[in-house]
Amino acid sequence: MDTVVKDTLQYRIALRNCGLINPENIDDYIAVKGYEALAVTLEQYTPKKVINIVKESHLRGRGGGGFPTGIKWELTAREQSDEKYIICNADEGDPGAFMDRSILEGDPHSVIEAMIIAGYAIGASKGYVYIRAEYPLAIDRLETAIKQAKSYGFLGNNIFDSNFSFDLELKLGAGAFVCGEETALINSLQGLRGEPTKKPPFPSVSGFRQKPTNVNNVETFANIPAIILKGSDWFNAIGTDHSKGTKVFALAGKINNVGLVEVPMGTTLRDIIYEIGGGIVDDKQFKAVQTGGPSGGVITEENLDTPIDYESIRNIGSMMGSGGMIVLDEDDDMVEISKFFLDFTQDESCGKCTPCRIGTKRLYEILERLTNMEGSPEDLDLLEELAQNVKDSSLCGLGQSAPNPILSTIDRFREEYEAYAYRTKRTTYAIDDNKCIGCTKCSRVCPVDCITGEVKQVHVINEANCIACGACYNACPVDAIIKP
Amino acid sequence: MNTLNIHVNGRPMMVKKGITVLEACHQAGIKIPTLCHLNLEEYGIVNKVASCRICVVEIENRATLVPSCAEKVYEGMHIKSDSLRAINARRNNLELLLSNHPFECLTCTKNLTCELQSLAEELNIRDISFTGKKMDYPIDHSSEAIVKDPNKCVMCRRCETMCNDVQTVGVLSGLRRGFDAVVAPAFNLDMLETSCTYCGQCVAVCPTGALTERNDVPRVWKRLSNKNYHMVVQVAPAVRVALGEMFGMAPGSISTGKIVTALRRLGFDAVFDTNFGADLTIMEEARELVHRIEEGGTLPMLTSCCPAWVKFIEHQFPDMLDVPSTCKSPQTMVGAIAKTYYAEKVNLPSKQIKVVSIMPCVAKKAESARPELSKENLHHVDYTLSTREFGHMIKEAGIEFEALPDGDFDNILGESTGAAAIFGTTGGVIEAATRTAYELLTGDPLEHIDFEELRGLEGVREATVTIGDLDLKIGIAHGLGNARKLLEDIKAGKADYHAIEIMACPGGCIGGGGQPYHHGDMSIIKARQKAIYDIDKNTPRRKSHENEMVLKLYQDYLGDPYGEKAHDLLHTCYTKGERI
Amino acid sequence: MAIKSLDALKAKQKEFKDQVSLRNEGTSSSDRIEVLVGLATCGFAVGADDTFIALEKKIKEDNINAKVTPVGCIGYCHREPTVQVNIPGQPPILYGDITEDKVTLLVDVVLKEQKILEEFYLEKTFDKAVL
Repeated sequence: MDTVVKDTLQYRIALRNCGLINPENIDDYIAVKGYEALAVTLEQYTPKKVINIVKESHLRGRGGGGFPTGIKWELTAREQSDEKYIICNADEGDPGAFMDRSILEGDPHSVIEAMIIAGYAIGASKGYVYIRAEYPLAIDRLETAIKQAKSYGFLGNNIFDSNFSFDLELKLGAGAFVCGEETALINSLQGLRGEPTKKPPFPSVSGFRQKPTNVNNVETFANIPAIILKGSDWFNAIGTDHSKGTKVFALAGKINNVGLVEVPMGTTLRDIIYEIGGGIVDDKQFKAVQTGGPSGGVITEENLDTPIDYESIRNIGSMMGSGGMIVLDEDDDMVEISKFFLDFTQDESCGKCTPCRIGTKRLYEILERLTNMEGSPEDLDLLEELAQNVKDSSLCGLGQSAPNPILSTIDRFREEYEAYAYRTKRTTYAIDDNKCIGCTKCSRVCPVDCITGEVKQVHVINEANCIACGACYNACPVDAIIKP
Repeated sequence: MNTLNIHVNGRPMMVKKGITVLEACHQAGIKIPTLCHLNLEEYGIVNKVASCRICVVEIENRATLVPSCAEKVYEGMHIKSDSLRAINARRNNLELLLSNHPFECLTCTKNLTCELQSLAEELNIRDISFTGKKMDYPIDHSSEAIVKDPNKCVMCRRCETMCNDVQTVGVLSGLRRGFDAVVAPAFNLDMLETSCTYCGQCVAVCPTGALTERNDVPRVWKRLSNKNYHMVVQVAPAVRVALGEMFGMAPGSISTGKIVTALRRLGFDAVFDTNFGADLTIMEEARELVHRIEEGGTLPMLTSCCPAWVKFIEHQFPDMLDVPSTCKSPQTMVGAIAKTYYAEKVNLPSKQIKVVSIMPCVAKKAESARPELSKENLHHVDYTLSTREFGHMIKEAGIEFEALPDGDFDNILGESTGAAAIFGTTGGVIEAATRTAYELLTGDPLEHIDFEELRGLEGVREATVTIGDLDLKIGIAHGLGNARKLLEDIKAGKADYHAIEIMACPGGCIGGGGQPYHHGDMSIIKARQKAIYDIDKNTPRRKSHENEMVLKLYQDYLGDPYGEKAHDLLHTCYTKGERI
Repeated sequence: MAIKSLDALKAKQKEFKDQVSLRNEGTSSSDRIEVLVGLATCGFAVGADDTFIALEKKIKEDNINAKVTPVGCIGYCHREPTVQVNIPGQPPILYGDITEDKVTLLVDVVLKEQKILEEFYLEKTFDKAVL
């Protein structure tokens, strides 16, 4: 084994420098053509030209929404205003997602460079990186990078001797998930309560300090310098018809190779999970992959071969989201999974609008009733009806997507919900009479002494006392223990 | 193009550009239920946080439902207000609110005036599908004026709009998140610990019983039933043009005579008029103004009748406490005179006299409790009831208010002029003061009594009144946000007014925090204002210094206006506060 | 020093030609070895900072012509701490699970003997956009 095996499935654009350059040394970034896109932009391109390149690249927002970045820039550029703003949304908050953190920790200059280019394109001279305070290392490296960029004159007045000046500031978020929603982010940035406001007006018209504001996510920005230097045709050659380029995913859950991957749009989940991700831990049965975090849904075996892009992933009942990918195996209880996400969203709701403030709480309570075996079939109807309403009438994206984990799992795993609703779900372990050899191992490990049986006789679990700890399951040498 | 073609429930119609879907539907004869929405546009007060999601409608090609209160119409818009999807969503959202609301309607202060309650009826809610945890916050009884029950808060944020945007007091704002989100002072401080002015505008707009005035009715009943006390009552100018609304009378009905009769039937021993106090205030305040102009005192002089305004300046502009007039407010002047001069007249010790005030105001409750507004450890005013509380007492006593014969106030604190009547509206105090100051300064009789230039509902107004060789420059602000603008101008040396009138509530006392609920209907406030000016017009004497009983009071007891005894009884001082 | 033109920027780029080719293809005009240590949050969580310090110390002690550079996360979170060894003339090789206690072994086998440490060898690499 003296040759290196190429992982041909991956292609890294946003992560191109991560792990390969010293993020605290601007020269390392310059060595790999860092700030060349900015120099070219300022020396050779008009703002309009820059916007056209981004538009023609068909780059779409990597924060999850998938809105065409070039159009967003154009909308902000065409507003007449004495001041405009560029904001980088680095308030990554989906459970299990860490794409943006890795980019900021590994290649902060690519984001800074892109923000300056965006500033030039839309006519902004001031930018903010809104980053969650829970990312101290990323904050540290960004601060260092900003200082270095200033010392090289890439930030400040008359960048590359042009008339263009741009300055950048970091703003730390106080840990509210909802501040990843752009209007809430802007409110927080202004020192107001971090809660969303109704759109329209969109930030491109009235955003930070009521001025036209362009908000893009970290990964979106990280793509920009490559697009500027390599051109929109190059970018268009990667990906699918409607989704160009690559997407970074954070693989987590019951997968062997937990980590970050970047694949061209159109890669199948099977490739991501089995080829890149190395398959399921302990070779267990794959059950589903959860994408899009608390706003997304689950994708099951039958759709593993779907080439993934913004549209296809929506068609199979989930969403791209920011890139979190949580792999679930046969042991995972789907009702518990949606309860986990609802616990998250009801806690992270800002509390402004009724459906999200009270609705997500009630959804969580219904799920709690179900999993406590205190629910009823009516609860299941109520759950679906309320989920639909919260989705339909909430004020912002958080509330509108909060019920997705429920709706998607009900759609795919209705029987699991019904088992709880009709209270037919087994909650205790049992012994398969045909397999038990009477070795007594199970009864010896049972912490509550609820397994009885003579040596070489079939053993029995007293279900009334079983606490479902699983000790017997692990101890049995012949797979005779039946899981709940 | 100022008109747009839209469709409402399939029917085409033309509407004005710039209106909301809610307004368009209203024009189409469709009533869409609302909760958080509040529109008092003429005061610049619009609450469109679009948070309650009760007014949602379907818009063609929109993935989600849209709040009609905050969505503007556009050319070619197709609105569906009556689809099952929209109706179900409204019901669903209301049920959610109700599932987190204490079912105390029968004993709630807002029973039958609660907008959430009316909405439940309107949407035909007979059953609530959801059960679960309810909010469980302690009720804040800390202040003398306002009771805050967070468990009844529906997060409509109207109070926040009033407190922050309109009044710029900044006490109330969203606290915590998710299910625990509630409107409260920062750090969930008690109201008493904040710089709340108790203006009561939060109470005036709260759709539920989350913010209400402190209920002082039981205490007043208790005192009334104790025959050892001589019960004196006074009624503020703005009460008489609003109380009738609680008994089905049209807004702007004047019910002064019925009020007097009702108070006698409730068992009060003497029924006085705060308007007497208003005339007395003018005697002092006009003198003070003339004194400040002639002796080079601090100018401008700001009025001091409004307790919320006084508290506002104490907390927000503590270095400007030399600008308000030192005059006590009319209610405390009446209280002070009742417990001294009147007590002597009826030969009773002061402590045996209890003074009750009927006020359009919530802040007056806190004012009555201020320690400096007392003499020999007896507060000038013992109990202050809002117009609403008074209405409830009348109902409780089974008095058919509409059928009551008119009665007359008792002497001598019952006599008043038209100048006093207009104290109830923005611009009124300064107009009353100008009428008297004019004659004081010139010695000539004032021919044109109506100073139209001082009237209206504009937030900040100014006028120059020529008095002899003096051009008296007058400023008027109502609403504390407008007051702040004027104060900042004064601070920056940009304003050269002689006198400024400030009232904390939009519209003045007619729009006070203690008045019958207007539920966002601006026409009610306008009708009350018109009634106030009608009273003035129909009163034989219209200048405070022509109030014979006030003059008699000076002659018999006080001596000179702005003199030593008057200072002792009728003037006060201010205390620096903090901004919290 | 401010860089004020595209030409000046390109001139600066040239200074690092060797560094880039060493990291990408393993070619360099110098014979100095470069060791990249993944120092992002995922690395720190399993002690990559200790690995970094131990590497610097060991290289100094053993007087090896090598430089240790902190880099970000390469994405193999399941094998952190990851260390990439770039020896001039050889393809760059990534190693996983290089905790502090493996540093001596890594330096002895990979840097000194210039052999592959099979147990910790991370077999996969990937394509990236080269600007």
